[in-house]
Amino acid sequence: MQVSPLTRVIALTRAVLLTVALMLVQTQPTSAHYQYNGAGQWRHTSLTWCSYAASIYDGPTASAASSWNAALRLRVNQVLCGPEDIGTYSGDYGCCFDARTVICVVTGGCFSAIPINSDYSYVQIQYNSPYMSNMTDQLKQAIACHELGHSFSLFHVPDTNPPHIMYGDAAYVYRTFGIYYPTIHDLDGVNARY
Amino acid sequence: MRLGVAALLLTLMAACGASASPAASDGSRESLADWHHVDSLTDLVQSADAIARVIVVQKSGEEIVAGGRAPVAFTAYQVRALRVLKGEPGATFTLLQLGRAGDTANTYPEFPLLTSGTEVLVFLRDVSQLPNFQDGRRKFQIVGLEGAYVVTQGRMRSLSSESKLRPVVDGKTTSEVESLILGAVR
Repeated sequence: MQVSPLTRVIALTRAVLLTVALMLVQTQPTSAHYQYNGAGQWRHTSLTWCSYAASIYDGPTASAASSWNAALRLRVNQVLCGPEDIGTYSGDYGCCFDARTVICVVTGGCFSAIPINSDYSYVQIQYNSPYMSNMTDQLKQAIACHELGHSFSLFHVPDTNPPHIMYGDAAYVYRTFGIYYPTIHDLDGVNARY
Repeated sequence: MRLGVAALLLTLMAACGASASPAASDGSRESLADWHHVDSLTDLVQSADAIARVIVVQKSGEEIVAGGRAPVAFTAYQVRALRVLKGEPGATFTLLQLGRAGDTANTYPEFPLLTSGTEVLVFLRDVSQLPNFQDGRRKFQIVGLEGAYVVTQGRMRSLSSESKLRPVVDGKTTSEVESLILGAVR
């Protein structure tokens, strides 16, 4: 059976393309250095936050917000309350969490779990006073920084190699690595999304 | 035709190269809570006001702690104590668990809600006197992700997939775990 030169060229090209494609797939990152809450995000990059929380949380939150302003385009600045994009609250919520973030979306509803795939309309951060009120300011800042990361679409990373403020336990990251600010990997995640 | 296939492959490759950033974690359901963890059974025992193995009789209501657009919600259960290991919670009492069914602002996949008829070992915080929970009833909260263990055929399993005490407790018999607790209480 005679094979035409054109057919040979096409077969060779396909083989080369498949080989290159396989090489590309194999060089994809094997572990994520940042993850997202879902496809949802802010539609503007100049965000505001204000405090409805006890004053002991304001300094650490302001410092945490400033540290996120190392991002390329996203900015978050403190304003007087109403209206704001991000509101911080504190109270005796009893057990279970040091702090939590709830994300409200433009299509309606607020969410405490991923995936959140609609654009954000409001974010509420709640500091749980039984656990947080006696923390040092740096530890409070670590937790504020982590919650603000959720506000900027970032979700938890699965491990601390390398360390991130977005690891699921911000207090552990602070106590183990002394980190209370976004690392380059956390900022990469924000810069890739905004 | 074959040139078309080659072009399609090239397009796929280009798309592959463009997606070099890590994939988003869209496939799982996990929450945006920064949990307060307890690292050892001894710390858990010492931090609890009461410890009891109970049967969940029924869901008895909900408790809401106000605050902004997304109040924190707890599900309340009436429970009956089978064995009390610490404190004096009473023969029956109200058990509060963080979370509420059907409330997306209070959904915690890693801390599934209890169901009626479940036998569970719980580490409890007495919130009866706290302003946010005070209504004259005796009420206890599960202390956190490390605070609840389901008993099935005499063996323990952490209610939460995120409990740091899973290696210590999961798979052990009720009597083994209760011995560890009583040892830490003394």
